[in-house]
Amino acid sequence: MTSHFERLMGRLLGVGVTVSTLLLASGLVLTFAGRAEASDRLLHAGLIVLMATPVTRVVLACAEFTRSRDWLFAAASLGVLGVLAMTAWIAMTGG
Amino acid sequence: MSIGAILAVMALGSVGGLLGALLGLGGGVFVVPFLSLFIGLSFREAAAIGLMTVIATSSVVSAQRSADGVINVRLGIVLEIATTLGGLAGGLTAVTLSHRTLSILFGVVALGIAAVMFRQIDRRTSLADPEPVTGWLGGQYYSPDHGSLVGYRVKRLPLALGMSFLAGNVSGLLGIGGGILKVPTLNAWCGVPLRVAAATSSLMLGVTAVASVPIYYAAGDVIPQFAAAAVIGVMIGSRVGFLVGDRLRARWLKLLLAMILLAVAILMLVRA
Repeated sequence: MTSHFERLMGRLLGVGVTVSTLLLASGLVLTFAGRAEASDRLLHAGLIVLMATPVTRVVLACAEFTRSRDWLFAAASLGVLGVLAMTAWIAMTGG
Repeated sequence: MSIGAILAVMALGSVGGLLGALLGLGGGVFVVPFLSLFIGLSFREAAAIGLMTVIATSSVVSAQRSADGVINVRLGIVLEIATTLGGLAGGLTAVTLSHRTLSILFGVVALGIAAVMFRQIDRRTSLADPEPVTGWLGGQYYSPDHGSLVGYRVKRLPLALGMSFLAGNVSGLLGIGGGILKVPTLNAWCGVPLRVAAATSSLMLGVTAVASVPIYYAAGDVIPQFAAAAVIGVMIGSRVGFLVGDRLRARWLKLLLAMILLAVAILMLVRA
């Protein structure tokens, strides 16, 4: 695992959480401005970006392990993504 | 929903972010009981916001730590299989339990965590001898105590996996990160240096929370305005934490936290 990869991972996490915060902050401002519909859309977008941030980090790790032919860890990343996919599926189907 | 309540939740989130930056905790263990006791949210609503703040704290702290070379991404991904399975199981269980049962569980777990914190306050972290052979999960990191790159080897992997599953389970069930369970185990039993254990655990918290929080989200337990306020708070608190850094005496901070946690645990149990 190169330190280049770690910096990329760090940047991804930082950008994800910053974008999410900006969406959430705008949504919160609009709530108090009485713009319910627009604020709802921004707030939910912010929450979804927040939840997607760690998932994207695992996808990035999986890609990096595959690129460096580190099959064991690529498989481990796929395992983690499998569990997260199961969570998303259960959440969406209301299981 | 009043501006006062939003500001109170933002303040709570900033305490969570501050703890994350200073101690590598998710902060959920402080956010959840205060939301439940003082803002009047149901336990599941409080846990859902706790998990959102854990994701934010984990992301912002890992973004900061990624330049230090102390995160062990390989060890993290292996242990994340266990934490996400635990988180999913916890999230599914939480939906079926009553407010009262969850509050009692939280009280018991918080008492346990406070006990761990009290025990650790004066303990010197074990500085293992450098390992020349680091194995498939080990690695090297820069140790200020040795003044050089030091190798380490991960021991007792089944124990680390078991504790990670438990930490994930507690996270999904109670809305906390669970780092306080993993870090001492990794450091004391599995040969992982404290700085590496804390940074790697911190990275894992976000993925662990994502294994359960979508279930809360789909069930309508996430109140978006409060979640937004808490996440904004985390961003402010963690910035302050990075700025203050090592100037704060960690010993007093830990003692204060352990005492607050003890009080909160007792209050949760009494209310339930």
